[in-house]
Amino acid sequence: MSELVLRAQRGDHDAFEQLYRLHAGRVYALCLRLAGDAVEARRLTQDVFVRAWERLAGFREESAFSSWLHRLAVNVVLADRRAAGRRERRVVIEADAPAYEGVPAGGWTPEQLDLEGAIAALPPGARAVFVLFDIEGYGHEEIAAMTGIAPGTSKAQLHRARRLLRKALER
Amino acid sequence: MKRDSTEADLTRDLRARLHALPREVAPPPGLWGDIVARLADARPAPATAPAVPSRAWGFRRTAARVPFGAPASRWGVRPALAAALVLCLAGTLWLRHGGGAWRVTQASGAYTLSDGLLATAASTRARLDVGRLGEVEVAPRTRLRLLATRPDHRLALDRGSIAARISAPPRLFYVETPSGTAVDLGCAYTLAVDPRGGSLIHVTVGWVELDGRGASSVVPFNMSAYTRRGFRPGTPFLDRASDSLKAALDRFDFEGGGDAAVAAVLRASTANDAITLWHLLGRTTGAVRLAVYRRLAAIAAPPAGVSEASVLALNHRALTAWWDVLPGSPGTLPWWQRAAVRLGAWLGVF
Repeated sequence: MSELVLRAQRGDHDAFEQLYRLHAGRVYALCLRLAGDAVEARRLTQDVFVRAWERLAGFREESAFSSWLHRLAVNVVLADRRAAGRRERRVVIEADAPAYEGVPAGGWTPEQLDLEGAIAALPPGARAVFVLFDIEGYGHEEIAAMTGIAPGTSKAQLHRARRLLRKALER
Repeated sequence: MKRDSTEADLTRDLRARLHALPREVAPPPGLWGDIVARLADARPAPATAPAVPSRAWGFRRTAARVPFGAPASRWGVRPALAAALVLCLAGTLWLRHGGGAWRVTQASGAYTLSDGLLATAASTRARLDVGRLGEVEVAPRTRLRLLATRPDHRLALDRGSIAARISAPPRLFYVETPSGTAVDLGCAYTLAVDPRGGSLIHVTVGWVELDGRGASSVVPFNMSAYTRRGFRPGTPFLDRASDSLKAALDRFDFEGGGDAAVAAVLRASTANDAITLWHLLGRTTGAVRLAVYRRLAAIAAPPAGVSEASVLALNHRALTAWWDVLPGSPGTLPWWQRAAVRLGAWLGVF
């Protein structure tokens, strides 16, 4: 186990800050793509490192720290999504104002064909599967276990995400 | 890793673009500072006790006692007390468990509602019904997360501002901010969060408790208080308090101003600042606490039975008894005024 991780496990803040500096870019990129929103990504990245600090004592050498942290980040974001979904079901929209701001009714303009933007605009379920499969390299079985959907649903969501992205990139 | 999904639908263009995506994205500046602030909360409590005693006990009792009607002892009829108790319990249960959903009832323009997050555009004002408890007006450029409707109503204000008007028993409505939590004790107030996570609360009816980092501030009507990330809630101050007093409080609460800042607060204080000074009792020690005590006693003498020694020892009965008679404390209002204020808030007059 690396010296930094050992020191952080003993409560050394400086060591944990160095671990943050080493891994924050990867974690933030993952949160940004899964959440599709910079403000949410910031909050989720905070959550990941706070959770990592709390759970660091349980980290063992069986996996690399980066892999452990990456998996923790995925779990944090997906758990947040599930909790948010439950909250949303308790919210009733009665006003007739547009429910989603920022997505043009007529689709994406050529200026918006940036891939990151197009990924962020995917429906949440399709975006999660696309990011986990095509960018992060997880398999459908793993994605199904992490997200609580069936492997077949994961495949369908991936197909849908790619179709939507292709459509966006063709405009 | 088995890639058992067909690659046929991944076009060459899309594949090339995916390949070019960076594995890392630089996180926003200041993120580590935010994490450090949260890590402090995540760690076990420090061995030394905070300077401020837990206020929750004192004010939970006070808040629950004050809002409705005359003090119970004046009725003197046990059946009436029992009936009132049953009615209160029934009312609380009704408020807690009925009509729990949030509803966006009005919006002046575009807003986003997704995954429990309500975000208003630059020119949009929205109004939320908080179950049966009251309503929240959401200002433009505000991000509000709806966290829970049971057992209490709880939301998080990430940035922007809201105006809440709540008519319910205390502690059914909570607003979390990055630097503290506002606990409704039966009131109307505005709460604004700046981009750095600090907040300013201004209470117009009733009073609000601010909690954070193991300490509390109770902010009565016509008073305000700041919160900052990494600090306990700021000391409440009267809206019409002098600028010099506000500046000294800011130094004391958030800039490590220490004893010199307290001395400046005492010099700038007037007879109207009793609530502010009362809060400083629990945030100072030794000779400085004694100086605060003497200044406060000169403004509002402690009631019978409250000794200097008990106050300096932060005895909670003594502190609560003194709080109840301080000028500006909600406890000093006659019952009919308190009832009128609550009725006004309920009808939307205030």
